[in-house]
Amino acid sequence: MKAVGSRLLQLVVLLGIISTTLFLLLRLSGDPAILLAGEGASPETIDAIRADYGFDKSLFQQYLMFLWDIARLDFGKSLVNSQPALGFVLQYLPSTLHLTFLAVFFNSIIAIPAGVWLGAKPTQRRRKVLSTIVSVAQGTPAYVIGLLLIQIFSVWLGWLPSIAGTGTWAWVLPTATLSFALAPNLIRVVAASVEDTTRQDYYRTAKANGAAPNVLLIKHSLPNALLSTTSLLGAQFAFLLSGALITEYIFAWPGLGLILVQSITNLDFPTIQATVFVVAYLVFIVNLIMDQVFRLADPRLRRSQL
Amino acid sequence: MINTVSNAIEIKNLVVSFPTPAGYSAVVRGINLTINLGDRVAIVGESGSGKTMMGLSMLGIQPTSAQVEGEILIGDVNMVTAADAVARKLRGNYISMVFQEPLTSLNPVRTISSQLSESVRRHNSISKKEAEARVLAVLTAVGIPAPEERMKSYPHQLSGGLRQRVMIALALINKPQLVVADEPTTALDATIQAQILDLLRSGMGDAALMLITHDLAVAADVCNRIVVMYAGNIVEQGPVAEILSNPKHPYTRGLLSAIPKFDQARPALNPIPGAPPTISEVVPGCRFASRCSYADAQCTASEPEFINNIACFHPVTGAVK
Repeated sequence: MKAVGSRLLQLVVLLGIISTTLFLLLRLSGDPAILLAGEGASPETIDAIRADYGFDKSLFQQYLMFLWDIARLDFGKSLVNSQPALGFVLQYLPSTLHLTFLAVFFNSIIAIPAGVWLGAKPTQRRRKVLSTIVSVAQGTPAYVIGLLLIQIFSVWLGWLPSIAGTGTWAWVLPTATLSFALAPNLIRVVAASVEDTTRQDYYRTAKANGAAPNVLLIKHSLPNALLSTTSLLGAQFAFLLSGALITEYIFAWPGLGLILVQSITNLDFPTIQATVFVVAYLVFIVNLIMDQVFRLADPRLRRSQL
Repeated sequence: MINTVSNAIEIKNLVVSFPTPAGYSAVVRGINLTINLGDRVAIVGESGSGKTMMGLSMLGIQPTSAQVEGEILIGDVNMVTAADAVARKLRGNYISMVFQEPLTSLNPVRTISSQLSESVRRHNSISKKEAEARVLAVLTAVGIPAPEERMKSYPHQLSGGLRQRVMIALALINKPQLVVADEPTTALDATIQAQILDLLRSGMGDAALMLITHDLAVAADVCNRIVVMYAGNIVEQGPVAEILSNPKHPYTRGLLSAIPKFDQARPALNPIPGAPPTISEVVPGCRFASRCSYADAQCTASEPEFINNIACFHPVTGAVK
């Protein structure tokens, strides 16, 4: 419970910083009324907007109003379609969650075994495989991978659709793109964690008691190595919720990333604000869940009998 | 599998070396040692004398970069050349080891019970329930209070002393013939040390004990034979009483006089001057010569052989003051 409390405090501080930054950005990028009205708006429209949004009040008053609105989860109406911004953004949430779960799942089932294979017996050859994968994959940005996959599988081979919502298999390419972007890091961390466990004293103890290599790996290395990998998985999960912008954009995947890119292009400030806040809440929830996962997985963090 | 023999282990001309930029350098330099069944042998020496590496190679669990030569005979199995599958059957079963750091030497994410019964069931085909009964029995035997409860604990939930008792229980659970204990009390508080030494002295059952320590007082307390190692060699060995009352090797005498004597009005520390040679250092004669007040030209010219329980050209007689 104490942990939840401190996480909540973190959230409040984080939201405070985000909202202040957003507020300042909005005010610093010129007269917000002109900005909101858009190019070529008549002076009457601009005045109407100024009165409507309270831009004629002092900056401090505006800031307080802004905070009050945010506290009530009122982000205003989308400038594009006049829907309440929050509700509009939330429509895109399931789609992002869907893609995130798929990417984390496929990334895990590919990268974790690969990392274990590389880390369990760090021979010269396996090290070379590892460093090649990591340097190639980490040096290739997601949009290159995405476009390359589209070119190969959609354009040349015609096997898979490249646009969301155009068939049962539309999820494959975006998932592959994200997995490809995330896997190298996960492989590297799993390999390093597994290799690290083989240097631990408990590993030597198990060996001194006659444990065979597969027992050493499964019963002694993996529980410890995967525990230290969990935090990276959590971070990747949070990253996907907030940062799959490019991939969602490339594949026209109707998620938070796409809506964020679109609303920035349209200067749709209420929607940008709502998206940023939804993402902040999601990251908070992921962190909260990861705390609980750690508590369950690592007996040293359980606050039970002592 | 193991023929009935009179000794627990027989080490012949053991050399353990590590790769260095200048080729392989030996940390154990040709050791011969036999430990009889039920014997209690202390291996005494400074850090870096090769005693731990000797202990690890006896189980065949030396670091992978180490090169081991010679013979380590357990029955008719030579641990140096034995296939891993053969050596594995002996580890934790016929020969086991207690390590210095009980906290890091136990798996942090598994319960005491699961770690101990894993070892029992590996070497005995018995049910989970029978294994747990054995775990309970051995935890009780090593003096762990409320053993049923402690079985369900994780290592971090126990005190340092209890953890080391668990390590000893793990070493004893398959009733081995030989337990190698590597500085088992060094990481513990003084009062807990005494309890663990008590346990090593009287709670080991029929197992022979090879106690690796830098502390002659601990060696004398627990063991009946002392083997003194210096820079990879055995320099002197003998029964405890003999070594304490009439040490012959200048290094052994140095170790003895370095023990603070609290019966004197003003206890003075008498350290041995200098430091042992590094493993890659080439020393033509006796490796202790540079620190030895008895050394002469012969000592720096050739290395003394280990004859009549001592490796020294100028053995000294009489008690150490």
